[in-house]
Amino acid sequence: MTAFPVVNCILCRCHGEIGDIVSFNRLQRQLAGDDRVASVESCDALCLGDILANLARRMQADNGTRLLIAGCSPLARGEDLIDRLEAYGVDPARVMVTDIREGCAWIHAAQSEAATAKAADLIRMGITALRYREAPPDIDIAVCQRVLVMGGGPAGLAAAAALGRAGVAVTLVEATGRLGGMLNYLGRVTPSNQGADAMREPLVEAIQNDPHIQVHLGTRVAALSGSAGNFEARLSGKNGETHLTAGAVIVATGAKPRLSRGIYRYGELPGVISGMEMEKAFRDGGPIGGDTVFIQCVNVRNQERSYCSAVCCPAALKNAIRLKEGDPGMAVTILHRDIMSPGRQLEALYRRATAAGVLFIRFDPQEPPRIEGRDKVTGVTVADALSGRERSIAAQRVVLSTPLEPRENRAIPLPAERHGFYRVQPFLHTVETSAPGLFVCGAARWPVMVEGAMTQGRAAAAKALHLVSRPVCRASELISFQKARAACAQVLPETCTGCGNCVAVCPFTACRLEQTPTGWRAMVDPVRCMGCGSCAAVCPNQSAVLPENGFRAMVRIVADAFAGRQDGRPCRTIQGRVADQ
Amino acid sequence: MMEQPAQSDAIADPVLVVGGGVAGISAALDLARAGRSVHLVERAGELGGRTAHLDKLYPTDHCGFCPVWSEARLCRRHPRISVHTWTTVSELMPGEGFQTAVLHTSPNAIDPERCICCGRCAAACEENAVALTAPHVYPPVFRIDAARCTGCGRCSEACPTGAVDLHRPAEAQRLRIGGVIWATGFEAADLAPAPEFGAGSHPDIMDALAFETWIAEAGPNQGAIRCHDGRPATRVAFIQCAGARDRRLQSHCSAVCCMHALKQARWVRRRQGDGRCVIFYTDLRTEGHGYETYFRQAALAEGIEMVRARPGLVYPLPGGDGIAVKYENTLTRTPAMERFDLVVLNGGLRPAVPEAVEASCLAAGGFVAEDVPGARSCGFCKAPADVETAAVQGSAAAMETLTEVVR
Amino acid sequence: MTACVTEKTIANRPQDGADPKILVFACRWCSGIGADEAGRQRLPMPAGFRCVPVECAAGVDPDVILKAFSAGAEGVAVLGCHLDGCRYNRANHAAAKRMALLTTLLETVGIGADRLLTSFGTAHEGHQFAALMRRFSQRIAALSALTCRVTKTDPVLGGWGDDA
Repeated sequence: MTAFPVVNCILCRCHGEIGDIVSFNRLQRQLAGDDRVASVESCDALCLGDILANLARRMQADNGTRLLIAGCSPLARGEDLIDRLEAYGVDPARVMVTDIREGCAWIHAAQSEAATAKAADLIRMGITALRYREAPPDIDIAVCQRVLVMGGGPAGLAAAAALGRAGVAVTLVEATGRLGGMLNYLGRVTPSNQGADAMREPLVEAIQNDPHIQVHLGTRVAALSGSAGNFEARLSGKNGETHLTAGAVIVATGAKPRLSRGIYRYGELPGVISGMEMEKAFRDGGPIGGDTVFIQCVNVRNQERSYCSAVCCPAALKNAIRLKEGDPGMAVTILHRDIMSPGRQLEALYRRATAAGVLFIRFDPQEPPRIEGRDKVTGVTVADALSGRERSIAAQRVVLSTPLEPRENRAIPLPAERHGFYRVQPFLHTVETSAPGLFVCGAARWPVMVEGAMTQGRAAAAKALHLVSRPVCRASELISFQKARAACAQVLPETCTGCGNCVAVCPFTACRLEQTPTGWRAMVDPVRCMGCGSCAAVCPNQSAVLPENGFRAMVRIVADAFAGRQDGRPCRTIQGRVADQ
Repeated sequence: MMEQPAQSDAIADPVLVVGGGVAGISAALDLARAGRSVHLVERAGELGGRTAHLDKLYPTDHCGFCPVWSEARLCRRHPRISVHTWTTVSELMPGEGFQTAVLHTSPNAIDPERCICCGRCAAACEENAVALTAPHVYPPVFRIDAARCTGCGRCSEACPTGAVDLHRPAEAQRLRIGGVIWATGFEAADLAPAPEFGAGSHPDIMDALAFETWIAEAGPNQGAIRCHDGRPATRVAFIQCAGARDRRLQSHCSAVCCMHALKQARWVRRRQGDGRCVIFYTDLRTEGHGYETYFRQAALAEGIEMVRARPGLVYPLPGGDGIAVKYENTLTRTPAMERFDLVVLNGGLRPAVPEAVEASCLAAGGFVAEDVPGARSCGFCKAPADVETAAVQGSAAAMETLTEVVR
Repeated sequence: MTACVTEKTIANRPQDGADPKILVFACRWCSGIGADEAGRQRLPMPAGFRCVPVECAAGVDPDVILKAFSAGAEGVAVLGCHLDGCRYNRANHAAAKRMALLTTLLETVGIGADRLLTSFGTAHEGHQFAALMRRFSQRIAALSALTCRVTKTDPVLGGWGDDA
């Protein structure tokens, strides 16, 4: 390690809020005796007046020094002080705030003596942390200013169209031969009740007329690697394999509607059809007659698949209304567990269905409906949960709502939750994933209706735009919930034994093992690393380190924590046996 | 974030984002990151909106402030976002390719820039008119409640930094803007047209938002489940669709209340030890991301009783003996009357629409329409939405506003 | 197998009634906020604890905790956020397991599992943090002197790495 930097301290009395409880004379005496500290000053309120501007001028003149501010918590004014110093041109890595107000003076107001001792310890810990803090240069990523959108369904189309309008180069990859995704299979779209084709045409037209957007139909992403700014995709299509580099990837691969043979005698008894077959019948425009029963929650919302497919209740409502409007004399029944029509428009759809004369019967999942009929459907028997009676409903057709199932795509390096949908970040970042630059929208993320998928597509486009709109982007800014990440891990190849502990724990798959001439060594991808420190915590010999806040610094900080109270540490030695553990 | 502005919109007018909840924050951050300047207008004193005041969020059991506070700080610290608190939009006038907005700011008497949070003003005040901001608000400052303040000036004398100015004038400013995003969220609906729920007849009958504060870990009871007279509440009822899906009030489904009730009931069950927790529901809508799992594994496993009923009468029993709920269980078809300690009315939420939104821009049910030229809406004021949906819609609205001008 | 074992008293309970020395690793996104809030509400707490803010509870090295004990800490608290609420993509799940393993190690070397407090998602409000500190402080104060069985070449109580 090179020479430690010189630390200047400034103590804020906070107009007596700290100064009346903690003895500043003692603190100053202690710091004056500390040979790591070059100067100590105190002031009444650092956040007011021009003290900060003067400090900034001095720090700029004195480039090697660092500044420890002991005052209020970073969450009160502390971080603002650093921000303001940064605005004056001071590198924020040179400044640290130690909290002696919220974390000391205010909670130990009755114990002035102990509070002073604690403040001294806290400042000592802060000085150590500041001295040991290294600030490796940030990594500039040369960003490939192109976005790869996987999937040409509503979500993918909306994302690509929005990015194209913003002037970003987009490659849209669609596995089938036709854009539109689910819009190619639906009759009408809930809740707008627009025809799916009428909805699809302007979307596809916008994509095709946009010079920024390249469309590859009948093409799959066979492999995807890399990190934010530079993803490498191998596309395999009709014309063989091609390689593509993209700065960001939007995964909009959707979900697949799937109904297994045998459920409610599906595939065995003529007249039992899936919701998707119903949609197809409407698209084909053929006459649809005969009394119809819809059965909801088919093979979902159970122990094994504990999710609601979200699209099937609105779809059943929509189709039931359409049947009823086509032939008011037709008996249309929906057997349901709960009608999932949240919000304004879907609830209105539910009311419309009721008004149109659609019969709703609630069943208990313990007593599912039974399909009657020997060689074709004649009716359904259901235990009506509300009346308690068994009811037989004559029907020529039973429509089983088709649940959405996640699609498996091994090429996408993203973790999935237990049903197989891609796992997204919590909080307000729900189109973002654990890999920066890789976004998920639409039903690949969770079952969602067309409109919601398009909204998510645009949201993902907004996040991707932020990344690819600049030719160079800083790795530290890829973190979504912070201004800049706290640290970036490094592995020292001289001492790394290649044990792989860090690879196992890294929550962002930033660590990997690589074969070198001297054996396996761990490597950290500085773009993917978010600075949580998991790798450093499990490294058996401190080869994985966070330069900003490393093991050595922590050990010194810990030693400093109680250095002010050296009360008796006698040692006694006994002879004994080591218990066999 | 010191990135260069995106292509060609360096000259674009700033965007006005109205509402500093999750939708507004998401929209503002995405606009600013793409290079647009943003005026973020918030009626209250701090960003975060309703979410910041929730104790817990479903389906992850995060604390409500947690997702918001870091984003609110990012907004505050972003050089291209000007945050206007205590501000409303009073007028919005169309122009040639731009709009003019008039913002009205009525600031608090305590200047947040100068307040060091020492509390001497609060100690000096005899009317208890000075209070600290809600927990987790940054920066922490004191505020004067104008309704209680007598203007005696003791706080002003006590303040060591001169932060208190009891005569701070209200300000109006005109801004040239290029696009509006409405993200004004929701407010509690008035339940007066539905007297059978007994809203307002007893403090132990409360709406879900009030109940959230009542049981919050940072709330008046520090997380304990109590009645207003201090007794522990061992029987708690949640009445769903109270004020929603009801023609007398509003016909929409508020979309958030099923999960909201499950979450609250789960926390009640966890904290009250033994005792009953009943949810009276009509349809249980758990269609969102991870909701069904939350219902099955998190809520039902805690022993919440689900009763399918729409109670016909809720009234306080005489002598402080609790609250009576009359209902018919529609699954067992048995009418019943039960006594509860606390009754939570869940569902009466309606969009909050500021005055500047013209009547022509309103959709059915009083929601702000999304397809008005030059304006977008996102979050609950567009359609009932949960936190996650609101945030996604905010980002999407930002993207649409961005591309509208660039195009 | 016989070996020379030292039983070393790391910290005696001080006679003057001072509060136990506790080192707190507080996750910046949860309990760090709770600690801050406790300060803002000026909730009185025993003055013996020192907070080390960390980005994530997963970044707390078990070796550092052992070093803390050998440096004289009588108790160590590792406070993280809700198990499903980690900003760092569920990193705290691994941290929880790691701390559980460390507990058995502490029991083995004689420090005792009682001296390590691991808690996830329970200290994000001011009063919770204050109550946790008071309880933990009482718990440590009730324990006798902190002793530790060490062999002669002990890696934990060995050197300090480098010296500044």
